[in-house]
Amino acid sequence: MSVLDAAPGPVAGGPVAAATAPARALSRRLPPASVLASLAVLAVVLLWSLAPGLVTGHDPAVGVPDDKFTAPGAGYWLGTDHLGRDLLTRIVHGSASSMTSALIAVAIGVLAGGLLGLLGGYLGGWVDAVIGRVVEVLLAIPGFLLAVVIVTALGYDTRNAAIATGVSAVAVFARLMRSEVLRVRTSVFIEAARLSGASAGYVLLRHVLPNAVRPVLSLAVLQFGIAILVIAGLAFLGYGDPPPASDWGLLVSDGREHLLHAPWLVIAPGLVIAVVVLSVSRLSSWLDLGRNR
Amino acid sequence: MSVLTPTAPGGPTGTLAASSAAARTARRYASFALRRTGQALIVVVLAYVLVFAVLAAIPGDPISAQLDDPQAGYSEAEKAQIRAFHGLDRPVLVQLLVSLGHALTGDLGTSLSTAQPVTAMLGAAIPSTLALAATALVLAVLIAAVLALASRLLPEGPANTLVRALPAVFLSTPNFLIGLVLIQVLAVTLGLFSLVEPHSPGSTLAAALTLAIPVSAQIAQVFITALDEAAGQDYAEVALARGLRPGQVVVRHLLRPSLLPTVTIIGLVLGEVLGGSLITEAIFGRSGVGTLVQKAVAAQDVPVLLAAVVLSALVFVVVNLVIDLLYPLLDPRLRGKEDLR
Repeated sequence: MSVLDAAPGPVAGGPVAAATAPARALSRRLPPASVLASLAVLAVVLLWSLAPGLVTGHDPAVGVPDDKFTAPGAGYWLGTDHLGRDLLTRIVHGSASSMTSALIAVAIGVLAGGLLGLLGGYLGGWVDAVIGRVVEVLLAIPGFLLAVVIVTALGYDTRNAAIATGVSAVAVFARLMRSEVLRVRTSVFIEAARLSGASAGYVLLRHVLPNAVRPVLSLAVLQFGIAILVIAGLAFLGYGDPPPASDWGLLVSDGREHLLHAPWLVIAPGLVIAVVVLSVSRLSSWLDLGRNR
Repeated sequence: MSVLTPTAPGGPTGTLAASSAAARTARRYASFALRRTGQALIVVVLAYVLVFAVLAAIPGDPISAQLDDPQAGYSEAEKAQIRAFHGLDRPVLVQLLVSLGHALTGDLGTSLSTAQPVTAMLGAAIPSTLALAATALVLAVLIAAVLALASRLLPEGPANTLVRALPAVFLSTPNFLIGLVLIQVLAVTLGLFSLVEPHSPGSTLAAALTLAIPVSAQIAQVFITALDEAAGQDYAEVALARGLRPGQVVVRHLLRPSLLPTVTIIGLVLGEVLGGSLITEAIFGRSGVGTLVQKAVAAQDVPVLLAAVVLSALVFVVVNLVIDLLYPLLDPRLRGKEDLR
């Protein structure tokens, strides 16, 4: 703790120095083991999403009826469901949809929220007041309920669930971006750029934005994990693609009927969600820490 | 009261100045409280408008699927009459203004699917959700307090690392997984409560625990950070140097300054509790506001959905308003500085 406090950088060297400091720290040593493990988990999921056929030899939609409700073991690592379909295969084939929808959600949050925060923080005045009120209203509605309302209006499928999740995350990005812009806006180098005759747009893109990127990136990574949970929750309630899709939340909801005699159908996909989200959040807190180094 | 404000030195003029300063502080607090309350009201009204606008985007009108069902056998005249009763024949903007006007006087309209007044449906659903949410919040604060205190009191080592890692694990676990595992372990294996009685104390406690675990993680994270920060202050080191045991230092010197950010986060996580009750009630088969929302979504019952969501926003805003107004009373450092917030 005291090492972090005593370190020069953000305070002494200004935001520009802060941006290069983590790069130096990176080259000096490898990230902690937990971060490496998280990266490995995400690499595996990425592989699942891009090339599901490479990882498993089973068919995600067609099962072997004789093998239904096989407990996890050598033949089926995570067991089979009520149609004899391999659960691991279904999880692997569901990962592309789960990951893409979380990505869409975060992209909406970063772009829309970032733009709102940037405009509000930089322009100030009535623009900031109006945007601030919108953000306040979005924050006042519990996020999951807001997502449910939006997906109701758009129609139930996974893509719409992703959009709904993204819209419910707009406010947190807008708030962070605004505070970052306000922090950077008063710096001496921004004043210098303005005095040297740079246009508002140039200062915004060239000086304000790059300095606000790192905290927003860290939040984006964290929100990616939260989006996975929210989208899984929506899918669990049946607001995503219907079966035979195998989104992770849907798999848990399908397995629910068989909880008593085949608990792995709930626990395995549930744990996969938990492990992926935990890895993402570990990565985010590591990125966030880098900001203070 | 005069203790709160810096007293001017010197005899009778001093006390006079002090009392007028106290009056000024009180006046400033009153205007701050009034402004905050006004802002909160506006936020709730705007939330109503926003949710109304989003739900207005449902293609067609929300009742047509129900009315056009041949099984229902409505004549065209009857359909028009029902639409007119719900005000669906008017332009959307007029519908919004009428419905907002009614909502402000406490009339939340009529359900499109049950034809009951929405207020009655909400009224029937609230007690169960209130019991669930309140129990969950209490459990979450207890779990967070245990984790935070353990993080300060356990010596550095694997146990401490584990305690500090737990919030991230809690936060990453989907609440439906927690709920289903609790059902499997507590109800099925151990037989601690019956699944047929979802509102029994045992079942309520298990449902509340489901909601509480992810929420406790957020509170714990803030609490732990605040305690660590307080522990780094000079006065904490002095207290240790004076020979106080670590436990005494935590209780006497670290707890109070850590409570403020902790109270803030408790207000903010209320949103997760209200949103999470949707899934929790579904898993445990409880009736409540969450179940009402789910049914309203399935039936595209706009008035019910609108009312339930705005009610959640109202609860969230009011609780956070109260916390906001309590700040200057909790923390002497903030008194008289309301304008800065």
